[in-house]
Amino acid sequence: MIGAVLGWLFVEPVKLPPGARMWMLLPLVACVATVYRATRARRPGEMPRATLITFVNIIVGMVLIAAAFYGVHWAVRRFW
Amino acid sequence: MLTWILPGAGHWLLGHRGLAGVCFLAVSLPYWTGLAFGGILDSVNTWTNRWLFLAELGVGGYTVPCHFISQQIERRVLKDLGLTAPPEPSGPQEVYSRYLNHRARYMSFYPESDVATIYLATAGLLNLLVILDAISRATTGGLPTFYRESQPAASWESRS
Repeated sequence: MIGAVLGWLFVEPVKLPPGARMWMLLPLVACVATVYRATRARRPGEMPRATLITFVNIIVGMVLIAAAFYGVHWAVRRFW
Repeated sequence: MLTWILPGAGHWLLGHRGLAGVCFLAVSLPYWTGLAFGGILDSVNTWTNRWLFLAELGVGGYTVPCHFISQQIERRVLKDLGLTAPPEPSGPQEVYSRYLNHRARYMSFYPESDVATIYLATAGLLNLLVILDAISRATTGGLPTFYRESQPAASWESRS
């Protein structure tokens, strides 16, 4: 039974729902923020707020980087 | 070593049960999600994806058994086709395309393969961070890797 479920899950790859690719960023960033904050916390109770702040920081940072690259791309196509 | 086998196990042994659970979930979820989107055959494979395999080795307890399962599937594909080794792309085209067609149901393609690669590599590297943190806590009596005690500025000045 467990073997069948594991086989079904991992042997034949699962399809990503259309348009879900960008949203897959969010759970991954949440995991990165959680582990990073876990390495700085003495107790789990210290983590939720700090993790949320790190999560938002990473997302905002990545959006800004994406916007900057888009701006450079646009400028190169427009003026080069 | 324990954390390498099972994420969070080192923290559990040191008595940080809550952090152990957090680390286990935060490393295991991206690993299994990546494996589900990528499929075990190509995602944990030293032949088709060796750099990814290297990153995944951060979670050895998951990656080593998955590697054996991946090899088992590869052998099954070859056996079904009556081959003894994977055919070379430069060899007979008919054999190679038959091999690829048979293998395709176990392979993932864009965009799933991209998502899987990123998730699996991140999980492996995150577990390295968890291993370092477990070592740090074991050697300092429970202090985390990047712990900084809140202290008045004067005490920092007196240190230097």
